Amino acid sequence: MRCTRPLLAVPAIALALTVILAGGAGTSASFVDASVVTAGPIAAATLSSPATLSAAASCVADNGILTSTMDLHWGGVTPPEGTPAASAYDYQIQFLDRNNANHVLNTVTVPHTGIAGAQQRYGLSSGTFTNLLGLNWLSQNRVSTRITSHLSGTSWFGSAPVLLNWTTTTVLGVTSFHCSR
Amino acid sequence: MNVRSRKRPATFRPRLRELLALSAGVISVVALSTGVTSAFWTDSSTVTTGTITAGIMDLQLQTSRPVGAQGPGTAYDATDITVTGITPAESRSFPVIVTNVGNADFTFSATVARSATATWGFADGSITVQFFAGTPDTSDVTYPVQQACSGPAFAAAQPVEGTNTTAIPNVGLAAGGSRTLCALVTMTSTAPNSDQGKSGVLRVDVVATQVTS
Repeated sequence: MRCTRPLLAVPAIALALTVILAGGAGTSASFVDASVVTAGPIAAATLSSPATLSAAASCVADNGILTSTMDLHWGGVTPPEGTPAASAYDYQIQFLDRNNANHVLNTVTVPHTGIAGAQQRYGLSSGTFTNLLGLNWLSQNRVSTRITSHLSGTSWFGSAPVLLNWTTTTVLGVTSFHCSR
Repeated sequence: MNVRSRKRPATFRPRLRELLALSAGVISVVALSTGVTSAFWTDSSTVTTGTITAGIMDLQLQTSRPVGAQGPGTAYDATDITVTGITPAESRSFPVIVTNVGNADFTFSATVARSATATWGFADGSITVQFFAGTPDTSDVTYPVQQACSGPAFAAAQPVEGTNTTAIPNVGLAAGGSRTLCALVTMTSTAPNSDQGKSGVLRVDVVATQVTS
């Protein structure tokens, strides 16, 4: 005797599939509206750079038997309107050894002082007694000072540094500074 | 006793009736199935309804410029979202209002990316955009300008890159409803020196999707 399943199973499966498809996300449709919003430009600032003064004003040496000094001067930044004020700047001063492929001898940072554009100063000094203690009997160095503006707290620098050349000579512990050499 | 006048058995007549009725039924079924002999009266009527008009999903945008983006797929120029002279760790905030002017509730989302029509000069990750469910505070106008937005953020600050990043996940908005948002554009504190003097244009894609359940 042949045994068959009830034919009722076929419509039941079809009904179940219909219910599943209707409930699934794949068959749902909804209206959408998409809008492209184009903003205006986002523009970054450009930092101001220090100004080079005349040769006479940018370097002033005062040499003595016991102590010699040299003052380096440059013009402070004058930032344009809408960019960080001069007070937000400092200056990175690098001393480069011209006898040794501009190897960086030392780096110091000083804050901007005064109003925008105000003359800035950095002083060097050498004491004979200190040279004797350090056994600096005889030396001659050709140095370049590179002064770059810097926005405090960031990695941003001005693009046009000020460059000042000078030399220093020490004989028997007595140092002399010489500008523009 | 006359045999002819004898009555038939009492059970004969009902059987005859049943036979006749069955025959009539069979004939009717045959007639109906062939369709040849049947005839019916019919009536038909055409019903004309009023116009059936599909609803639309339509979002409306407004910054500090006039409202725009009405009509599905309409773009919006938010040229007031402009930043000049930005430096690392600075941010600017801008108002953005999204209104549902369509016929049904929707959820909206937004992604940010670089505009493909303008040169993007910034390094990757230097500029971020973040949306808040609040209003802008633009009172800070001196360096470092660090404006802010009130309300909770929809998502973390998203770097503006070549590909879209989600700045607003799905936010519900009923038909006729409106949401005031705040967009915060920031240059990160680690933006490199090479970003100086560079510029770029932001693109925000806002998509409204009908709520179906």
